[in-house]
Amino acid sequence: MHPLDGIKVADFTTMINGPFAAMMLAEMGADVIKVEPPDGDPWRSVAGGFICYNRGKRSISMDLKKDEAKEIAFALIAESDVLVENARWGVWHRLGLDYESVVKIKPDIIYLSSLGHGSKGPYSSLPGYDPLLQARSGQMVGQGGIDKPPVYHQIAINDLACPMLAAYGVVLALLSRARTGKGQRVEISLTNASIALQAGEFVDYAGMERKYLGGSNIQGLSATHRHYQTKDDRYIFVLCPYERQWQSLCQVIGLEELLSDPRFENFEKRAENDESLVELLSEAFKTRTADEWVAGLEEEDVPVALGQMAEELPYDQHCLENKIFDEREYPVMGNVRAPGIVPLFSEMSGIIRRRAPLFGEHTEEVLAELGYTSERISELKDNKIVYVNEEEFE
Amino acid sequence: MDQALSGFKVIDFGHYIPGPYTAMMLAEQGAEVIKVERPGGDPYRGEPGFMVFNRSKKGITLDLKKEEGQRIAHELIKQADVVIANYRPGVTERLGIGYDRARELNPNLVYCSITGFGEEGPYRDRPGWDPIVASTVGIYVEQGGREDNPPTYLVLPLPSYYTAFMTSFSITTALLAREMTGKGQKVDISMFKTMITVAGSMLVDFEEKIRIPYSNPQGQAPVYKLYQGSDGKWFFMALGNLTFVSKFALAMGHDEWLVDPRFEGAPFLILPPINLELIEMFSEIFSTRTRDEWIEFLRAEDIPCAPALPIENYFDDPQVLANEMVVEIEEPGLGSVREMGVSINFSRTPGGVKGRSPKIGEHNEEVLTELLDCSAQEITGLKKREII
Repeated sequence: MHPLDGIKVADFTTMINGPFAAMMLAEMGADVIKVEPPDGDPWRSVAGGFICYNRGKRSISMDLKKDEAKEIAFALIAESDVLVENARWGVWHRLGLDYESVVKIKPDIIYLSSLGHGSKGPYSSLPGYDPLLQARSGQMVGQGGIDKPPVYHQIAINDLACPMLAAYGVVLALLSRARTGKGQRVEISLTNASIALQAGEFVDYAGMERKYLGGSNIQGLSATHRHYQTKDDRYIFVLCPYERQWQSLCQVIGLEELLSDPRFENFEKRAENDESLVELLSEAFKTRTADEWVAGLEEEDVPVALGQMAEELPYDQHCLENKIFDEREYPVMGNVRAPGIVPLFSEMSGIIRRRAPLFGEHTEEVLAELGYTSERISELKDNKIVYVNEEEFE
Repeated sequence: MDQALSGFKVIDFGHYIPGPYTAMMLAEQGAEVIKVERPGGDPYRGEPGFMVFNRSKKGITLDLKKEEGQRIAHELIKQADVVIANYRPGVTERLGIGYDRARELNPNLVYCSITGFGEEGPYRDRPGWDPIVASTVGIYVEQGGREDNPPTYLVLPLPSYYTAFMTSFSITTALLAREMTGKGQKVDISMFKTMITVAGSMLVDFEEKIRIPYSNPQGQAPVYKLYQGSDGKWFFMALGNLTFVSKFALAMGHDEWLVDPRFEGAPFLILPPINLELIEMFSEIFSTRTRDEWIEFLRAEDIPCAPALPIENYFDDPQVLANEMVVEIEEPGLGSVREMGVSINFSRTPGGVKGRSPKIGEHNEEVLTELLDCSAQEITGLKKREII
């Protein structure tokens, strides 16, 4: 049994923000149909990227600019509990698929708009890409440090925060619908997500001293909160939030003399002499391998971690034991390992119903479910109203 | 009922960021949240973020190391719909608020345990400190660029934040399932697993995977990167699809770029060394006008771009204000504090901030009197015995 068994989702989204939200619902058991434009979701071009946000869905493709496709869309929506879209604000009004239009044919629909900039304000119809929000929101300056070059977060941080919040919004609306019978419109944006992702930093009052901790290529924040290179040229992160951990650290690395060194006798002194301490510790950490340090420090309860390479993670012992990665066969790509389902439920389970779909892989199947005959489906294909997958794979 | 979680009661045994942030997100969609702090208070008190992560809640103190404190916790759990705890595995059991005990007290409960690394596997005892989770997932290494570069530490506590979002989603999903089936259950969330999903696109693994070295902290894709105007100020240009790449070429008067083989792979897969060549070319072009001139020019051509600004500016950003993402809250001793609004908008059941974060033990008497029917005399006794 899965928490969202029986819930149907029409997913009209592309790229990351949007597809990921619908995938979170799919992995909780919802039946998700991804509706792609004739040239496909542009994120398909990023091999490996697409499958992270579209697993478990079925794909159907149609040209929503044509009236006959719109009829199909309405038929699909009429069968759905949730509609998810992430086009530029205004596009869905032009297509006649905005909330006010949709609610006429499906009064209790939950209609999620996962937008770039939100539906109100001067930038509402500008294209919304993650790094534009990283730039404007202070995330890049925060990471780069004030008066230094801003730094681009390699992970699309807002594009990933927004769909998590969006999925939360959808289940809230579903819960409310379960109790009242009423649907509603839900809106989230990269703008709002960029603030939620800095909730502790986005605070301002008279006399507040703002700390700028960032800097280009910083290794950490202090000698006891940073990376160190080890004998085998790996990097470990070492953290001593409490005094006893600082003491254990000195013992494990064989620098007990630091404990009686007046330069490092307390937190304040260590902060004052941070550079010298970094130098001393850097030397010491070069004498053993990363694995040796991690084992030694963990035994004394000093927080430590090996900075892993992306390609190592799927084979990490903790990931293997917890089955954190999902492994399945894909056409062309072969065997693919990708992150699995996050929440674990004691009485139910999440589910990955199928691999990420090929473009238009389920067009015919879904149309048939909506009551279209095979003759009609052929006509729709011939008239370029709908598209099916035409590539052949081994 | 005018909010999605109206009528639900949440007991928040969280501390630091993930648990408290989750409980706050539930509170601002209508749940009644009681934050239970240890006698010394949440160690995160004093950080500016504390005010945000704990607003809209009532706060009580309880010494869970004492049996009498646990008994009060049990009374609260009996009345709750949701319990949230973020401790290392095994700690909640020692404090008498583990899942098995909680389920005995209240079988319909949705019980959420947030841990750093989950309850199984070799890292299960690793503490859930942000940098430990982030480092284990490899995002510092990847941000640093690998090859000969050291890792780059990221200043935002991303694991905590994403975990709060994932947890709010998961708890609500469990509440919805309970609505349908009548069954409560335990929900396990690990910060590590959450971050594996966040880093998913770089972690996905198959034989032919192309790994592009991350050579530049300002971005390595020429058409998706930070550039400097002639005044030294930075902006990001995001030509995220081929339509924008074409629009850009035409707007810049370089129609020949449309057929230039160096642009093959645009937007994201222009590989070294060609990406460096193009980056140099664009950098030179952008050094001829100020940042703001470029932004005005590019926006008029519908080309995605934005200035890189410090967070202070964001409080006055017209888009942020139009979407009501700044609220002002009176905090004792600080005056009016500007902080984030409620990020999700609902047409029928809008959320809302219910008030400032509680002072330590601020609602001890109120909660004990109203929910647990304690008399004034009992409360005095509890104080005297340092239970509350």
